[in-house]
Amino acid sequence: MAVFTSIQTGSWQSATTWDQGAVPNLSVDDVVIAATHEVTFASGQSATLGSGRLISVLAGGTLRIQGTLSAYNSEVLVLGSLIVEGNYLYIYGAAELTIDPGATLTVTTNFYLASSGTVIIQGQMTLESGSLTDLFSSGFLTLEVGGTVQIYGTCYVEFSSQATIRDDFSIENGGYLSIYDNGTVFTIEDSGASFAYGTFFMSFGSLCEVFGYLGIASTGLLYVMSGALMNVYKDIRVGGKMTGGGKIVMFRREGRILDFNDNPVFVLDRAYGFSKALVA
Amino acid sequence: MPPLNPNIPQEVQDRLNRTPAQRKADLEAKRQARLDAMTPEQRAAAQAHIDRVNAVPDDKRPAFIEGSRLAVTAQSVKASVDGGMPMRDVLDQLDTTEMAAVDWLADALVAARGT
Repeated sequence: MAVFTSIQTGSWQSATTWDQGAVPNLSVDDVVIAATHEVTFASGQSATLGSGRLISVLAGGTLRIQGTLSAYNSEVLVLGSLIVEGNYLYIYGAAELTIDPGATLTVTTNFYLASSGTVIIQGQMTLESGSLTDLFSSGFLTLEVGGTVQIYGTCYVEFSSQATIRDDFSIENGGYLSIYDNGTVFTIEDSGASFAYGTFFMSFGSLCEVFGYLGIASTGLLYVMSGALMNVYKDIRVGGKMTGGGKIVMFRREGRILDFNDNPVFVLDRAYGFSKALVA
Repeated sequence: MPPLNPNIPQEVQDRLNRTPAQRKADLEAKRQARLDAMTPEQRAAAQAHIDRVNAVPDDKRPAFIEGSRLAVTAQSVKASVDGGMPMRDVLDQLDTTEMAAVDWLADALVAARGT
């Protein structure tokens, strides 16, 4: 059991990359990617970070995952850059991935969070076009104040998973957010703002709590399927399309459905007024 | 404990100084706090889904997730149809590519259930 620290840019699987002169065994070793080093976990390689172990990527350092890396009941702490461009990154079983302020997580392939696996974003998370991110079976995503998430690819939040948004979360043009099934909750807190230039999709049984800002741009689509529920505690802004068969409940008398430029969509008093159970 | 390496920030050094058992205890405490923040119904649903996934072999999990998504979509369509939406209207909204996919799925489901 040792701490392996990178001493130069290179392959994860090369002993010359590490100060210990060997390749780390993630079952028993901790790993530090030092500043200015770019370490590549190669295509075709697979490893699981064992229970209680730690991978840290320091500021200015980069870890490229081109193979398959899983973290079970363990920690991945990113102060630099983490790039997922291979088979997948899988965080599960109480494991925690933290993207510190100023750090970046870029996903161009597949990123999975499950079984209480958690990602905490204080820096920037970018899900590139063609990528798939899947929170399932009680995966947790928390976007903290100061962090940002941009979705150009596909992101599922499903099967009792939870996403909590405390800063800017945007579904870009061509991006797709899908919230699935009973017990799945997507919460935009007071400090949070969710912008949809792409598709914001809620399926049967899912719940979205909007305490902060939700805006659907002219290119965007808000799809609330039958059996889905969106609770709005302030206003929502819809400049694009809004469809489905589910419910949007306005909880405050002064709550409004506005266009993307803050103009009221409904001007009749009854459309925005008397009940905390206005169903649009 | 002084830093092992002056280039390693204190935040990371503090974590490195903890034993795996301490880290596991921290992670478990945070996991429990997240679960405790759920409603009892959400917690029960989450645990039920975790148990179901854990009972499925790794190589069958993608199929399990696809099956779950299929069931959610079926529930949504059923709710709309039960609410009075004609099934024909649902199909009429599909373009050629989407219709081909739905046709394929319908045929595949019938074939799979027959095996």
